[in-house]
Amino acid sequence: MEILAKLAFALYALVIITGAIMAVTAKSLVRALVGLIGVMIGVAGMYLLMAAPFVAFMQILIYVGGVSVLIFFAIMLTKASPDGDESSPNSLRSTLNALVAMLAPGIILSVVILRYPPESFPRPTDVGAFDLGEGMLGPYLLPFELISIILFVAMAGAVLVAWRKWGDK
Amino acid sequence: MEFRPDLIIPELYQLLLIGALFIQGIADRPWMPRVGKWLSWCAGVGILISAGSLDLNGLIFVGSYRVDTLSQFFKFAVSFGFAVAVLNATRQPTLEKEKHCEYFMFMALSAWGLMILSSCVELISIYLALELASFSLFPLVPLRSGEKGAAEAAVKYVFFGAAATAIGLFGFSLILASQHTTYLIDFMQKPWAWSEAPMAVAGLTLFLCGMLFKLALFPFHFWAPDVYEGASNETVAYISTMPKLGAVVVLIRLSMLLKPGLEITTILALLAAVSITYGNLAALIQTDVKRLLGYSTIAHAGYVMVGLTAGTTEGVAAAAFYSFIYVIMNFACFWVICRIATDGRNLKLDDLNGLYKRAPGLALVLAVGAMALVGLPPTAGFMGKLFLLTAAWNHSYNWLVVIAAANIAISIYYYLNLVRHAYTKEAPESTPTAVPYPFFSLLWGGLLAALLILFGILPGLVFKALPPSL
Amino acid sequence: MPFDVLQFVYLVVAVVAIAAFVAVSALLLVYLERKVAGHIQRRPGPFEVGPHGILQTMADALKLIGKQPFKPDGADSILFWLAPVLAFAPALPLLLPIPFGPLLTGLEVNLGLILILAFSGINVLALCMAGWGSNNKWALLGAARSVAQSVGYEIPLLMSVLAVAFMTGTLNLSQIVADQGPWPWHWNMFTQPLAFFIYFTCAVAETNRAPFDLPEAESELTAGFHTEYSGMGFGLFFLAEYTNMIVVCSVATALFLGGWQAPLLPGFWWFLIKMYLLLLTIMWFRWTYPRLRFDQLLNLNWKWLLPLSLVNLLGTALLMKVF
Repeated sequence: MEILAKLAFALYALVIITGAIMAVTAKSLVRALVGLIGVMIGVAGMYLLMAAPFVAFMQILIYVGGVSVLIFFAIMLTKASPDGDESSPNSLRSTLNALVAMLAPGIILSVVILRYPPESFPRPTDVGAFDLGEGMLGPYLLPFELISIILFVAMAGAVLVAWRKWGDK
Repeated sequence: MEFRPDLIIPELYQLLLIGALFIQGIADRPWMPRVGKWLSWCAGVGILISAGSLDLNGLIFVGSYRVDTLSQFFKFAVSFGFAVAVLNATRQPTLEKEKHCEYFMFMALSAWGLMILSSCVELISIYLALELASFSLFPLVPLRSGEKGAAEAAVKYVFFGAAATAIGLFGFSLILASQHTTYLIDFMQKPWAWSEAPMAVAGLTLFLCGMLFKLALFPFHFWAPDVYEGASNETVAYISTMPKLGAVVVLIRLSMLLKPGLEITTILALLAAVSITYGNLAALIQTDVKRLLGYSTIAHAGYVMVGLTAGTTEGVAAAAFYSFIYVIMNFACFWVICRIATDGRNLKLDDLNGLYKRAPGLALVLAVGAMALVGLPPTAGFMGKLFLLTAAWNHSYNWLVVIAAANIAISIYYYLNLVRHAYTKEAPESTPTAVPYPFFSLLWGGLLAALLILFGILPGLVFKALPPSL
Repeated sequence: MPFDVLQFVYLVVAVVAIAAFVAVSALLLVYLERKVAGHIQRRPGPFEVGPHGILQTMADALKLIGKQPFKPDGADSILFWLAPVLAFAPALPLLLPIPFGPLLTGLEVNLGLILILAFSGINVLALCMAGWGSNNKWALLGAARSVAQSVGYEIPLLMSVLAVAFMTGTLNLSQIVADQGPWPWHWNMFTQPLAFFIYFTCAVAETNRAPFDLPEAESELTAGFHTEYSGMGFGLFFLAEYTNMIVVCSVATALFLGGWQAPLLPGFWWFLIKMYLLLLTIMWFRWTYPRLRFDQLLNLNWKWLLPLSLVNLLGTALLMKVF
């Protein structure tokens, strides 16, 4: 079981990293989105591995089935031509900068985590829908309510900003 | 623990305003009350309400929401700032008429987020309240008609904001992984030194990165001047002052953990020093007034940090005092800028030339505001800086205090440059002789300036509201 | 939980069995669909291949398999080929948690309902990819329609399902079925008629069946999102559509119609009968109602189904609290 779990972890990590690279390097927006979807599915797998199936399914339901579809819609509404400004090849310098920016925190954090592993459970305990519900209506009631307001702000803000463009035409 | 709605009256009142704005925003009746008018009065009532609830005390929402003197003081500061910002923005020339409701609704939401933020003692709530406060500002920036830069500023703001959010959340996950709690009160028992809990320290650092973005402290400041230049004057008046209050209150809450000598505290002190120096030096060469104030904001964020790194009650009280004063003095300066820029354009320093002739009252307000920002007596800015530096001396990093003091000298140049342009330079012939402004705008601006001098002479008025037990 | 070989074998058998069930059902359903269509329109339907045309679908399937898969010029090759696979791939996990009989469940999971809802969302993504990747304006229009449609209809569907989950207090489909009784008035359909109605309407829309078949809309968009697909590319989309129909009808059976519970001889058979009755109802819809206009489609969802499902959910919660 240990080995299987590690294999699964490796698989999910591979999916996540491949997706991320694809999302960053893809020339066309839609392909980048496909990479992003790969990342989300990989993350859902990670949740499964942490014995949080509810969160994993929600990740798929919301991000893969909902959010990315909406992003798809947004891309379809724009002129997402693969030969825009961004498609010109990056200079060596900016690539190097990006690599350094990516590796520096990555290496620091992984060294920290590997050298000082935080206390953790030998085997993950199952986090079910009931536990989540108790948490959200118990100690985390305030954040739970705040999130809905933030969603409202995001939606109303998007409407407000988009409205302006409409009027300009 | 039962829920006590009487503890959150200021928040409920603000929510009521938001609801009213929302309803008016979606209504399509031919007749509507003018938003600017009724909201100014209602926001004024809000100040009174939060002043009346200064003494409340309690813990609600399962221990994640603490109502105490600190939170009530900041709620008071927020509702004060909100009222001034509303008053300031009522006659905004670059805002389309049909968007007034929404504009003020988002501003109110942001202020509401800050109010909640000042009471949160649980990390996720803090994070979300901060997001609420900053998300609500994103749609305000592009609402400047006839300005291409506004869209650019909005895009920059949103992207950097999103990146900062992501970094903060990642840090949050590390904290949760190593400390297994999100309640600040439980954090007290946990170690926060690098040698004992490196992962938590790394996480807290990242979390603070997200926070400092809102504060526009040094390495996270780069968005600020561009955004300030693109957004309308009235919006900037809000953005450049109010979110600072939120960030300061969070840092005060976290300062229970940040004892001097800890690695994070050292990093913060370093950042504060660089921030002050960088902000001041960059402000020296600006010709755009808003950019100048943008850079000065970065420096001021650094000053507040000086008090917080002290880790003492006096330091925290000084920081709270200073951020409240900062709200007043920044609004005083922006008040003048917004009145002079009658068509909503970006002001250059030369546009201030000869202001003492064209609008003597406004010139005086500007002079008081600038002197307060420098920290000259008898203004409140002087008292604020004095408290900060004395509180930090011998309790914190003395080198930091020295740097801060040296920077005050630098900042004299560019702040008084504002005054110099207003008083000693003559306006070119082409400019209109007088700035048309109504009597009330002078009255309110004068009130702000008067407050600055009043608190400069009697800082105890504010300190009385501040908790002794901080 | 130690690694259980038996369990693993059981799972593999379940997957294979479900795959076979899907394939056979799809063949049968295509035949049924054409027969139903024929009889509703007072014509016999397929009649030439085999007695009463019973082998017609086999012939069609063979034809599809034999055809050359073909990619149009300028199409995005990754997306184009990924789409049909992605459309069909979730079908198997979708059927795993469904309790076909008292003991006949592929995978007993506590969150079976959520699992099904989660994976059913992937279908839309496949449609989008197909529409975008085909480099064809009909396909793109079909994809755009499918997004607006399925994102909208997913919400009332979730709400109606949630109402049932509220009542039963579990997300385990076997548990939900077991809680219902043999007679129709024991079924959830009886206590949650509105939820059943909303669920079924939305399910028809989610599977892009007429009268909600705007993403395909033969008469306007040629074949919508799968205009450019030939051979098994088209075959997989076809298979996915029928599998999704089976899934939504199975879930409806389990949630609202008492699953395998029945007054006489409860078991697997009753589940199949109920499911096929629902499937036939969907076919009946197709040949009865004309296709909706796009604005009608959206209005129906956002102005009627969504508020109704919200009211239903709130009412359920209120009644649960009171009693």
